[in-house]
Amino acid sequence: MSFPGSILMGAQSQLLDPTIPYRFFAAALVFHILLWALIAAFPADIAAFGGGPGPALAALHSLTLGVLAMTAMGVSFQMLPVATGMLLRGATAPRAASWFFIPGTAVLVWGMATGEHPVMALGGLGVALGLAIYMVLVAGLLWRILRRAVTFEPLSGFGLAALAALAVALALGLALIVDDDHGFLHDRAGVITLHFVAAGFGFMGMLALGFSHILVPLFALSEGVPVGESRTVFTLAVAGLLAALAGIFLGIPLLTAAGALSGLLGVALHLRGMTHCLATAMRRKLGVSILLMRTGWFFLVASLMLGLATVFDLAGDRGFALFVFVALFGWLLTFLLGALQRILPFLGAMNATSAGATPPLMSELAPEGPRRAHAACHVLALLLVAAGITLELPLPVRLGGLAGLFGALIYTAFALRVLWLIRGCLRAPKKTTETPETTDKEKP
Amino acid sequence: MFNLSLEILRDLHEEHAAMLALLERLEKLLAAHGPGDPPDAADGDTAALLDELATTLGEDVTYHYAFEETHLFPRFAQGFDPGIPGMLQQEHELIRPLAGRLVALVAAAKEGGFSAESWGQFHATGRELVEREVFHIQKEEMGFLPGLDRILSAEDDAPLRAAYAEIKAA
Repeated sequence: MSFPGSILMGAQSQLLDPTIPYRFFAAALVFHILLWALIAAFPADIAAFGGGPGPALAALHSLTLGVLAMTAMGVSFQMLPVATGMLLRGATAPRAASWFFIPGTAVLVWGMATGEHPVMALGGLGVALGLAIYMVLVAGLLWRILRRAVTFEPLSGFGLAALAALAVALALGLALIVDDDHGFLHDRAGVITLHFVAAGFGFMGMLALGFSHILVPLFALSEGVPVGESRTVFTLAVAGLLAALAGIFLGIPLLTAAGALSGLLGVALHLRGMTHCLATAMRRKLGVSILLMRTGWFFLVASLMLGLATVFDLAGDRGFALFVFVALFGWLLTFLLGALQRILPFLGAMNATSAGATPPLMSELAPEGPRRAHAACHVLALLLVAAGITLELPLPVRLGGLAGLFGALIYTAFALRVLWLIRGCLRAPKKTTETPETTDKEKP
Repeated sequence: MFNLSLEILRDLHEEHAAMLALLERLEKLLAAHGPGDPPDAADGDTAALLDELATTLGEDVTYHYAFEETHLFPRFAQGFDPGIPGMLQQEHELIRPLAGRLVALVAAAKEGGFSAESWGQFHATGRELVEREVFHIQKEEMGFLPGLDRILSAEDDAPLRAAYAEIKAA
């Protein structure tokens, strides 16, 4: 796989049973609503959040596990086989991952909200089992690609780094759950920071960088990022992540700062590549989804700068909380929602076509109006909640939560509409189209 | 695009680029004039666009499609996955009648301008055509042509170009 559109190669035969990715997407929609509802309902907890069980921790994990990881699993199971031309080893294992992970996340979030340790532990176990299956499946697939590749493969490179970071984040997360009841960790705050950096910048961040190499050129109809440039971005990002984690673990702020700087350099190069893709696009009308993705990139840079400021205690009392919010909500959630605005109808149309049905129009699947309304609500929510966290004021957080909730409902309606139309296509009588040996078409 | 090595593939890519540019102009016209607001078909820019639509669209769904179906889809099906050419051909079959309808509406408009009814039909057909053709070109540009670039050898280039020229001359 060395051109972005190879995602289309073999797409017909490699597409997984649609019920598998869509169950992850459907669960992510529910958690997306839940997280904004929690923010709107408990603004004082969010504005003053400094760690520990409660609605804020539940909202945070509704986002990280319920939306970000959930979507990453759905997208990985659906898109990696078609992107790489390699099948997953059966559909049972991805299904099993969903059986553990989806209810596990729900139970964990409930346990975090109520502070009930056994519930948290039970949920954590489900999440760990689901993620373990996911890691084994996807790592196996990415490893096979890496072995046959002749040059650097961005998807497998970033993907494997993401999975390694996920393993670290998962282990630390489980340790934090156990520590919540038994108190064995000497530096709980440090472990929380490590867990956040490994999960946010390591797992989701690396995945976002890797998938961008495919999705942006695919949607914009542009040249892919040159291999050498991808390799440099990868090196800077991985070196940055490792340095940041080591700096936090060893308590050496300069090392952490060096990691953030390396990350910033990598991101600058990555954004230059993405900007070049968009500048050379044959298709320039990309709608509001690209605006959301660009907003996500802005917050990515902002989060790294905030992180850097936090290392040197220059970001104030609320600096770390704001850093977490900007990275997870501003960058990752915004970028993900922008990408999904295009991925969902695209995958839907591919599924409909592979089922032999007449594919619905993109404008039928994803009308621009609701997508714009969702984007406006989302950005408003980000600004208000960020202001509330900075000023430790519940009112802006509540208003932001309500804006986010309204946006999430619009987004859910949009996504359900896509799923409903695709379901209709999949149930429609199958058309057969054979590849002709000869044709004799008349001019219209 | 992806440094396509064969001239025939670069030719097809250039036709795609020209078609996308034309569709972008059509999209602008459709955005400027809603379904109930017919433009003046004799107006300079609109008339030029309509002329180009009739020519380019007609040639695209005739020569370009026929060449792909006759010479490229079978090779791709053999070299990669038969599902992809099947999907692309299904899209050809959806786009062909849309293009035919649009070209007929252009011809009528060149005679006596757009009525409210004919513009409404042109608007709906044009919108659908733009969406289907863009989605189709997206797949061909990002998956089909780069894939062919791997399957075909330099020796295939000249015969394929000759075959395409023959189709265009027929």
